[in-house]
Amino acid sequence: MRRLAIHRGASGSHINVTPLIDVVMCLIVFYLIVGRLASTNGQAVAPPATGVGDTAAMPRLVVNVARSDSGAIELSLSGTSLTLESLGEALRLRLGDPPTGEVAIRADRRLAWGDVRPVVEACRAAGLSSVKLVTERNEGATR
Amino acid sequence: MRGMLRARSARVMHEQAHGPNMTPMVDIVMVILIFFMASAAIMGPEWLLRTALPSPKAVGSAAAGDVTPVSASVQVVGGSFRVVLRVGEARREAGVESVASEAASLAREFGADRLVVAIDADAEAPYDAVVRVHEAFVKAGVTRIGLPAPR
Repeated sequence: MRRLAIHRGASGSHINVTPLIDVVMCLIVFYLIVGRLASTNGQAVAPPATGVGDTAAMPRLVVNVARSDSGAIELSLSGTSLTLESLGEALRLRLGDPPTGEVAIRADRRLAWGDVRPVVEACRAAGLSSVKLVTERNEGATR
Repeated sequence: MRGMLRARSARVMHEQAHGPNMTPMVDIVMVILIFFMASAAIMGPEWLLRTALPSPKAVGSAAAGDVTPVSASVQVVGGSFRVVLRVGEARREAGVESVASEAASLAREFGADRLVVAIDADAEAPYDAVVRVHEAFVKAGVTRIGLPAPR
């Protein structure tokens, strides 16, 4: 009788890990979604859609350019809000002298070139020889 | 044989009492969901267009070398805008919709690897139009595309 109980205890009872897996999976999904939303820093930026582009990894430094509800141009560098005057200095600090690294500009498609050009010039003034313009993937584009 | 029948009847009884076990299906759906989210995060919904920021000195040296400099300017005229392409003394005009065919024509005529394209635009021109001109030359196979400094 005692042998039977021990045998049952060894083979029949084990920890059910299924609820643990479910909860962990839900947490992973939650943090993936939150991380994706947080990367845009709350700014509603809709980049221009293009049918071509580079699929390389996004550079570490991304300048978001968007227009706020009040009509003012809002800038952020990798999630940190700043002004156009401080953008050049922030880029120089982060890129070093001579600059190492790349910068991507994610500007809203509804902006005028005059709104984006100062950002491009700030990158040039920081010593960069190229930038990457972020566009929205539109593989079905026929234009 | 008898053991198998007993096990099957136990499973049938369990399903009759509690319904089918949904846990494996939920686990698999979760794994598939995470796989697609992770692949979407890696691939990203965004593309990058690399554009050069040449200095005025570099623009001058490009014009002197064995290349064909092209100036693409997005100009606002009235309420609409047009793209003016200049190759040497030649001047072509195109709408933003037709700039892709003009870029392809230039690439065929001069060779895509020899073209050095400088894109400029009026301050009032839409940023979207500037990117579409850039895209047109990328599609034509041109790799040397830049935004020169304002004069």
